[in-house]
Amino acid sequence: MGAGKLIVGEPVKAATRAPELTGTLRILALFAFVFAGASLIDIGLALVPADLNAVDTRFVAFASMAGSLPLLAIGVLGLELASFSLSRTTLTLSVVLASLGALLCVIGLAIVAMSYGETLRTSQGDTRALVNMTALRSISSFVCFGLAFVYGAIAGWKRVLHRENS
Amino acid sequence: MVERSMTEGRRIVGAVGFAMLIVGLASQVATLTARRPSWGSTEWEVAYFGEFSATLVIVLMGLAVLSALAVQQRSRWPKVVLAVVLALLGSWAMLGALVVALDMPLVWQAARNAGSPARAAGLKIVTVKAIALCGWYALWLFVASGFMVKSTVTKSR
Repeated sequence: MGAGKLIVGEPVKAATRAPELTGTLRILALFAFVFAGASLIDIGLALVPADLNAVDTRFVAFASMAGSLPLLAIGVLGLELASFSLSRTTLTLSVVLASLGALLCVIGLAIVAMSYGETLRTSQGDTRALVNMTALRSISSFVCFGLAFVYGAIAGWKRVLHRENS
Repeated sequence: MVERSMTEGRRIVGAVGFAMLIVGLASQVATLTARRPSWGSTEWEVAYFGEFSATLVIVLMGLAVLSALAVQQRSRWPKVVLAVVLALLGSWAMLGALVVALDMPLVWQAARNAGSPARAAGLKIVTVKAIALCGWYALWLFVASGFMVKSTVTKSR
């Protein structure tokens, strides 16, 4: 029996019924949920109190959101992995979080890209370099994590529909 | 062959988990000892627990990996040790949430006299974030600790 068969084939169905594997996936899912929740708290507190009418504050608030995306991605990844043998709730949660992550990336990318020019125009000296660096870092994060979240959300929704049909 | 690969894989995952835990704990010790702890000083309490909650995630990643391995390997003592560590860390996070929550009125007063609205908002955000993250981590660390205890008891039956 090859390792590939152990992962995707029939033996995994028997293996997933083993209590220790279920326990392992449960604890991983729990921590993944904790990471996703912590990243959402971080994102919420970066956006909610900010004055979003001012262009520079909007730029900083949405660019700082990019820093929380890796943690959200780890959370989504953990939940997606755990959902292969846990309840449907885990799968639904992972799909909802992946969709939310994708939405946040799209919004963040649009706002950072739109406010970048104005923020750069009003900044001088060292601040210009900082604005450029922040824009580059946040835009690359939004693009890369956004694609990962979109892929995760689509794959997750397909699995949800497949489970409903079967 | 597959079993040998699994054992190797477990070893690598365990080493990564340990590395994360050690690096995270070293960071926590550095945060705690960077300035002499002064309980009762609002400035120190908010700064320390703000930094604690922001850097705790590496420790938690290490603990998540090690907990998953302990449950998978069915070994009793690692599970007991991890349950105790999770409960202690949860208690510390809970203490942080309570201490910073009690400091909130003073921080709000300081924010009113901060001079600029941006600085006042910054002070408030740091405080609320420390309370929210410490509370969130405390809650789930207790749940994880309970889970480890439950899996130990289930196994020993």
